[in-house]
Parts: sequence; structure tokens; C-alpha cells
Amino acid sequence: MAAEVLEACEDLNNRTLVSLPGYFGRLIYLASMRDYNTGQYYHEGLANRFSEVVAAEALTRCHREAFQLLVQKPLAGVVDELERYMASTPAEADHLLDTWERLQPYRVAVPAQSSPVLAEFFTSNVKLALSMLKHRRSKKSQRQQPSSPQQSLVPRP
Amino acid sequence: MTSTILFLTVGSCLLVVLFLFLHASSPSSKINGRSQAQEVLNTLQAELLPNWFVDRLFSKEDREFASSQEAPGILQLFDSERKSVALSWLRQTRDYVAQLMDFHVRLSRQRPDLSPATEVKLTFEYVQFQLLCKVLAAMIRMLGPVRVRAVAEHAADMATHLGEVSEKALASLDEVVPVKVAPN
Repeated sequence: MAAEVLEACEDLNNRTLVSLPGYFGRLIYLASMRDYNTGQYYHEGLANRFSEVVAAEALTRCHREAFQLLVQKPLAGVVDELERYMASTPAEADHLLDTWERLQPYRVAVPAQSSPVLAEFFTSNVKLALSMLKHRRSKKSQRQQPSSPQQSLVPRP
Repeated sequence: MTSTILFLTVGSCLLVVLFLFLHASSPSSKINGRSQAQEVLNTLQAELLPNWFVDRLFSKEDREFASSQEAPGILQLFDSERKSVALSWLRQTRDYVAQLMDFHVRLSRQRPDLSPATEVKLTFEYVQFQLLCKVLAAMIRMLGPVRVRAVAEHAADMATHLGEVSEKALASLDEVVPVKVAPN
């Protein structure tokens, strides 16, 4: 069973996770493989190749690993990872930042067996990263706007 | 001189009362056999967060990064967030040690080779740890987590040490004699 789980983890890494952008992408993907009502993981392809039990165990393990790697990152790394994730989604960055701040969907991305303090630390880091990215974007958009009204009134040749 | 004697007497009385309290308190569950005792200890030890977490949580580097953002309110947000998580960590660590002591007391009742000196030393360390937690909580609230990193590391080391003491106590038990800790 343990060897099979390892093989399933490797399969999941090589076929799916490797193509996902950074740790946030992996974490969100793996969390979405979990049933909200039962907490059970399910991946059809993996269950077909191995078994439902082995696939669920492999998903649990990969989810825990992805979470652990993200929590161990310094705050600067968390901000970079979140920026990378934002760049990979079709959603507009400002819209994504607002939605994440309001709905806090990242809370659902925490694996079930995580220590409550680790979960709190993770959500706190994401909250900080969101604030920093929001600030950076507002600063960037301010720079892109004309610096004085006079400049914008200059007649075009 | 008189105040020192008084202080020492009161301190000793408190230690004895605590020792008696710990030994008299009724255990929450029954441990049957060494393997179950080991299981209980493993479950307890899994609750203690690793050292890297203390490094991360009390990291100066993260605060410097937050400060470098030059954004209004970010540093305040950082301080308040870290403070909140640090206090949660401290609460969890304190609960872990309290449960560990409860486990140790239940285990000690089955030990024929119980050394009162070792038990008193352990009780003293436990009291020390509890006091340290109180001081640390106040320091976190007043100074913020980054400035009290060394104290937090010391508290984490003490919690690990108390866990090791229970592990040693368990290891010294004879495998043949089943550990049966009945509730009072």
C-alpha cells in the first residue's frame, strides 16, 4: 500500500502538478480534489490507474506537502508565489485580489489534518501578501496615470 | 534575609501543592499497555510544532520585508497578525505541555522505580515553563514577537525537553509489565 501511494504521488506530480504554476496553483488544485461535505479526495484518472483508496491517500499526502512547502516560505516568497498564481489565472489581478480579500477562498485550501496554528499562520501570511500586492498595484496604476492635469491638456500636434 | 526565607518557604509549599495536585488529579482516559502509552505520547508529540515554525513565526527577516514595502498600514498589520499567531502558538504549546504532564503523572503511578527527586525536578521545570509562558505572553503583547525570539526559542526547547523526559520514562518501563493506569 505504501509503495503504491508513493507511486501514485509520483504519477500525480509528473502528469499534473508539474504543469501547475507554483505552490499556490498546486495547493488550490489539490484542495479542489476534496469533497467539501466528506473531506474525501477523489481523482478519477488516478483512481483508475491505482485504486480509489490509494489515489485518495496520494492526494492527501501531496496536499499536505504543498501546504507545508508554502508555510515554510518567508513572507517575501509567499508574495512571489501569490503573484505567480495571479499571473497564471485568466481573472483580472485587481478583481482576484478583491475577491480573495472579501471571500478568503484560501482558507478552504488548508489540509484537514493541519495544526490550527499552522492554518492560522498560513491565512495570516496570505492576508499580508494580498495587502502588499494590492498596494503595489495601486502604486503602479498611480505611476501610469498622468502626473499633472497640465500634461494631459497639452494639445496634440 | 527574613523575606528570602519566607519566599523560599512559600515557593516550596507551592511546589508541594502542585506536585500533590498533579498526582491527585483524575486522568481523562485509561492507558492499557505500553504500546497504547506510546501511541498516546506520539499523538501528543505530533501536536508540538517543529523548530522551523518558531524560526518563521518570530522571523526578523519577514518584518524587514514588511517594513520595506513602504505602504501605510502594512507594518502595523504585520505586527498585529504575527502577535495573534504567536499567542496562539504559545497557547497550543502550553496545552501540549499540560497534557504531557498529565500523561507523565498517569504513567508515573505504574512505575515501581519512581524517583521522588526526579519527579520534584520535573514539577519544578513544569512550574518554570508555566511562568515562562506567562512572561512570554506579556512580552509578545508589549514588544511584538520579533523582539522576543530568543525567549520563544527557549520556551520551545523547554517543551521539547519535557516531551523527552516523558519519552525516557516510557522507555524505562518494563515491556513485560503492562501499563495500566486506572482513573481515580
